[in-house]
Amino acid sequence: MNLNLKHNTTLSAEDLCIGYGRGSREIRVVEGLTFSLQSSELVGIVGVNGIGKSTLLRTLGGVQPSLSGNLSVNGEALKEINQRKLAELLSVVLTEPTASGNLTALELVSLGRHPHTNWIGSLTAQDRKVVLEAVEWMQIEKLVQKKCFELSDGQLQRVFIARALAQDTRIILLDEPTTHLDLYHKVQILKLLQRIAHEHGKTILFTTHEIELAIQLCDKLLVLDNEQNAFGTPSELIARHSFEKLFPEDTLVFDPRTASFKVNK
Amino acid sequence: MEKERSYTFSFVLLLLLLLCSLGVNISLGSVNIPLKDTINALIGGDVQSESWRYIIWNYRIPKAVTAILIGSGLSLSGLLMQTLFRNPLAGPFVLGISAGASLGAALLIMGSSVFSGLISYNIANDVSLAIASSIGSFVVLLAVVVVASKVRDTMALLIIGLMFGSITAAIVTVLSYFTGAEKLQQFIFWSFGSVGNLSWAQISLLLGLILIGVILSILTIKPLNAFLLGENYARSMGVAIQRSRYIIIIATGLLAGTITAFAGPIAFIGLAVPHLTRQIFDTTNHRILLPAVLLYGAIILLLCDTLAQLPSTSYILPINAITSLVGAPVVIWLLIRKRKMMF
Repeated sequence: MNLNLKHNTTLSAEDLCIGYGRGSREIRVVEGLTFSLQSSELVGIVGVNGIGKSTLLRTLGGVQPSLSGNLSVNGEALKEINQRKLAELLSVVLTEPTASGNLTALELVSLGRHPHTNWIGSLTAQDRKVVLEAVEWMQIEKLVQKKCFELSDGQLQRVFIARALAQDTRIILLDEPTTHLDLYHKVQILKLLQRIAHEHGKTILFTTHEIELAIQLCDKLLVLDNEQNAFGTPSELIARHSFEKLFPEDTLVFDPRTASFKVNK
Repeated sequence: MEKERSYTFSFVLLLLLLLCSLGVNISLGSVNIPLKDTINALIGGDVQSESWRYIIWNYRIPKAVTAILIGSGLSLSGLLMQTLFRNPLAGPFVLGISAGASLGAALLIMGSSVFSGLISYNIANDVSLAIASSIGSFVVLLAVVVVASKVRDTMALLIIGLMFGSITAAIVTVLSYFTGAEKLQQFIFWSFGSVGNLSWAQISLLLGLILIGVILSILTIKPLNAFLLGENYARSMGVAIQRSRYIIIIATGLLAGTITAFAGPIAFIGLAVPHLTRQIFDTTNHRILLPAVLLYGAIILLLCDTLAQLPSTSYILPINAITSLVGAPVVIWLLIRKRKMMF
């Protein structure tokens, strides 16, 4: 990894407004988002269901356009970057199930080399090397010859993250990488993501409902609440009481000392 | 990744099988020609009876070549559809694309008597028959694509394909009600499916159109592999989704449409062969699957055709019936072994 890339801004948003539609039928989902992500950072997006986490991720991934404000990847406006080029800058891990269960884990990871291969998709020695590295980083060496339908949810998630790593982009976006996993596997995935961000200088941005784990493991957090949309390190956000208003107080209360939520009985 | 090398053996095996089934197909038929004379006729040696040479060169070889082209083309179109629709049960017949081609052909053959005077059509005009069936299959294919973008459900898509089949069947029935016996018979024979009776000129035209379909498919091998992960992943890997989809659809329509035009609707080959191929080639990579499916499809249809001509009898069964007898059990087997139903 290029170490001089460390602490460079990779993804930044300024007064960003995201949503759907156009003109008078415009639906603004989240407004006034300002944040900037550096390399070697693991960043979590938290917020209640339906607040617009996935919409934000889709916008950042270039799947849907933003409504207003600035959004730039590697210092270049996202709008100006074509899809082909974006694939070399940014990779994604989505929540949708695998289309083909007959793919082996290795085939799936190798598909990550897509933006770098020739017209028919043959892998060069360099491509194979990157794929094997990704496999090592995600500790899935034993799974490579297995078919996707044979893998558990946690294993599959690691395979998909390895695919994103094989794409060799500076930014990786993940949509709820820890859903359907038990606590152990949630932590396992998040720790792997943290290590990859720190050791390989990637910017890793993911949405999650595991706020308490995110506070412990993320370098920065974006708290979507449609008011402040606060962005900062977990300790800054705790000091600014950003988590208190996330859920209705008569149900859940945030305890800043333990950085956890308590049920209001 | 290391495994790619080991496919060479399977490919050699398939090629040998293709040659064998070609040999069996040519040497068996309604007229009993000894193997020695068959070989002699092929290599230009002495043959006991000149009529045997005539039969082999002007009847059996064109038929075998047609079977190879049609088997390969239909199987390839099935593979393309299964990946495009992310649906293991997709195929030109099941999705109603063959039915669309039938409708095109029916309108052309029988429509002339219904709208007498408007269209004057002569059955010898193969090009117009090919165009009409291709248009018919494109129309249904586009309708299926539109519906598929709305419903992601496997079963819903199949039922919709079935409904398109019913609609076209209904229109064909109405047409045939108003049609004279001669044209009706013409259409019915067409709908039985047949790989025989094609002249070399027709075969060259078929070959040209299938080649275009195959070339288009080869150009989309990379996007096809990306589509295995779904459209969103494909887009995130820089695949031009819309353009790739259009090329795949055009290739599919071209293959299924022209083949149906020349040989009639031939059931199940397109659906079953890609699955049978995956049993031998344990991969999802289209770079391997595409040539494998072409070879396998040719072998299967050659064998089906050999069965259809009921060796040593003068009967020739409709090839459509034989492929259904082979293909339908494959579909049932797929549905029972659900885990293997993936593509």
